Amino acid sequence: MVRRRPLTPSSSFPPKAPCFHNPPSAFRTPNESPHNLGYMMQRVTNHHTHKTTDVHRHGLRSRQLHLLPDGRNFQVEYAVKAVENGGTSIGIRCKDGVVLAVEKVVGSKLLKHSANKRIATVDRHLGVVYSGMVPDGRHFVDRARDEARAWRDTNKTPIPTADLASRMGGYMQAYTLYQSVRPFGITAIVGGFDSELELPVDGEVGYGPSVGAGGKAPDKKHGGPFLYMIEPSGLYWGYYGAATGKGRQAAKAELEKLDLGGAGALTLEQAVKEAARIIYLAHDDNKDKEFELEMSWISASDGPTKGKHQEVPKALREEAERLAKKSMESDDEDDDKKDDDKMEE
Amino acid sequence: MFRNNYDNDSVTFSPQGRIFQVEYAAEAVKQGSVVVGIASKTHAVLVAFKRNAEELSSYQKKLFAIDEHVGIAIAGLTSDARVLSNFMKQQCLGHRLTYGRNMPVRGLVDMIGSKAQINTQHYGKRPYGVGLLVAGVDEQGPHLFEFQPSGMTEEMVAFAIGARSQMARTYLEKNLDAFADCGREELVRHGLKALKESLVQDRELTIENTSVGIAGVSKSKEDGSSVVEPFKVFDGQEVNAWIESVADDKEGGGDAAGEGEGMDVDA
Amino acid sequence: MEFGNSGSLSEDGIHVDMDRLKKGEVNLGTSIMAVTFKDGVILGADSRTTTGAYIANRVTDKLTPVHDTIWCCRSGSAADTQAVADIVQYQLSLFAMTSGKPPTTQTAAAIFQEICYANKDRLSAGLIIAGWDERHGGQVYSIPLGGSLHKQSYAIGGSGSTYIYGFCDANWKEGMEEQDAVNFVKEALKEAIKWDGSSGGVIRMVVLTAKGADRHLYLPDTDYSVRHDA
Repeated sequence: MVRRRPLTPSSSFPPKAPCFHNPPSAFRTPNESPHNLGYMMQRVTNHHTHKTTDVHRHGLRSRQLHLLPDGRNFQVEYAVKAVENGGTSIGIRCKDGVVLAVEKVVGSKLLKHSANKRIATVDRHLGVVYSGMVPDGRHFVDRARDEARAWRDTNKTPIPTADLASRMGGYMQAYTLYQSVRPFGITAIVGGFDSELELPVDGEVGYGPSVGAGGKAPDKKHGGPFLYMIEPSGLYWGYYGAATGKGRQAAKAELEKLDLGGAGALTLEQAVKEAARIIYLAHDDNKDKEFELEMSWISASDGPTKGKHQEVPKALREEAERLAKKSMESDDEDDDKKDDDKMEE
Repeated sequence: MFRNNYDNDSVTFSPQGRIFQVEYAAEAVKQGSVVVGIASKTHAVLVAFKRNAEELSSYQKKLFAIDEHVGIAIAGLTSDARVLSNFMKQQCLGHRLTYGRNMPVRGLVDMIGSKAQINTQHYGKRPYGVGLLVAGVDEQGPHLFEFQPSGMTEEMVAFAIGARSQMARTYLEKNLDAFADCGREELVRHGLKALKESLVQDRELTIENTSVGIAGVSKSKEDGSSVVEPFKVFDGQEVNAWIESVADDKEGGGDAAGEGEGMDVDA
Repeated sequence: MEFGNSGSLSEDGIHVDMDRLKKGEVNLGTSIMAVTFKDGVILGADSRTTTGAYIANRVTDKLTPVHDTIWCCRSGSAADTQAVADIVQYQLSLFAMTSGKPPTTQTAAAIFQEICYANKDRLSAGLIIAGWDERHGGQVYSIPLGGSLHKQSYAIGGSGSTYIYGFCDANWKEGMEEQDAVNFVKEALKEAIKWDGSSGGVIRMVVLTAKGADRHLYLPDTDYSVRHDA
């Protein structure tokens, strides 16, 4: 295996001696993609014989990463640090949908306003937002789209949110296993609305009896809103409210105050307003930097987005921002005279 | 040679969650000579300051046409830029073959972003040591994107990268609000003025060391359909009029002129 | 004209459209059907398997499970349909294991269709997929020779089905009680067996409901009137 020379600090840049050798072509197959982790995973799970020839053929330093004696993997812990420096992302799962929101710290005045989106649509009913290294996030989104597509190809039906979270959790986990790759420097929040309706097979022709199919389990609800958060380690859980990035502590504290699972649970529109307020509040400690708020939402098929993941309409977002700012101001006043603790709109 | 244990490769996070290899690559961008890009409602322009290794040698090209509607300005390792440039050309060509029209600029930029990100996550690879400004027009109008070695890509109103580019960016920030409604000529002049801010003392823009690239869309006067001005790089005598129009003794004249209408300045 | 055993109509004058079969290939010259009813679905089939004019098996089971409450009726080449069903059975059990929930009939039908369409030039398989799941109740999908997918209230297939289009159209009712649906399937298959030379033997059925799969068996000795243990 030829080790390519890494970049050195600026003084010795560009490299003076020719230092890039390609491995002999006999070692490579035309479609070889050394970063095909799917292949690596398969190889490891299917055979336990990957240590020598396979690895060399694929030009990888594919030794496994050993754990430290105390069971820690420092690289994963350092990746988490990259996440903790990123703009705050949150997700709220309420009774009739999911809201995703992100604080985009504006690094330069020269950025085109609202042109650079951070929340991505993975399938029509699925959205992803992330904190940390943005290019890693884009990679994550690309892969998530591939997974959603692949699921549709085999099952002819949209991928359930839980299954996408599982696939992507596995994908991120694989990047913690080998010395040949580094973990993802992001924590991703995946929100989705699995259709509560009976889903046809994609592209099916015809229909069943007009009285409907017989023998359905009565009173059972299917589908619904789901929210998952996936960490650099590959660990993921389902959440009612999830927060990551720089302002996660403040955001989590606020999310915990919301009624998300109970009987009087928040409506989707309320959740949009809460999300805006929480992002503004979480940004408060980082006041000197400007930021842009980006929000998306997903409702049931009879809700405002008709089961699709969409950007929150401008009018609603601006209204939510207005209320968020107002709440911040009244918060400041509260600090002075502690008699009034109204937080709502 | 290395500063610490965490900068040997691009698969190692430092305890602070940084990847030094990527940061070093960003330094490589700062070693390149300065390039400036600005987008208005009708045009996207790139201007570049070219360097020559010695008096008698030729100047290193800084602007490259990718496709009919897109061009790039580079700062950093030219050879890495060529890899990305070839890739972009192929993608544009492939897109044209399948869809019969210009590739959307954001899609193109996202592709090199993804490509560059992989180089920051796999052992045996190194980040691209080059930064790009990508200017182009598509169905949404003119665009300007910045590409960084980390794989980060962002759409900008105006931007500058390369050596001493901060001064150019300061100029751009100061004039930010004017760009949207600038005409073609005025946009180029703004670009050249920003470029001049970043020059080392005693250096002047000349027809040898200055490149200008322009792509644009305009409404046809007959039927209102949009007419694309293909991306073209202007060098040598072609940029003379622009350079003269921003010469120090004429400073300020360009600003007052307002909408620049002379579309046929260059012969 | 000499009688061959290729199973082709032009040669022995008995069989319908079996040009796709290889010489001597085992064929399910068949009557199969599946119907939805009030509580789920019922699949039914005759039991004759032929090699040309020779009955290779008179008590064949053409009703094949691909998951607990998702089954299929197979017609066409026995080898092809068994192979396809095996693949789907594997996929569905993998699906159930990884996702922790049973697959839907849609998923099963989609996988069947993918295989049948992708290999349409090489397969001779006419399938009816019927299943019950908690969310959608009983459903019937038909995948004829080209690999298209049709959702239906009930489906009939195989060479014998040509004789019972009228019968089914006249007697089919939506949302039948289980016993009525069983009788409907039985009477239809009796007609098919009576008229189709390549159908015959016993009548097998599977009833799929919330309670699971329930097999029926009827023998010709009693004119299919008595239900036997399957």
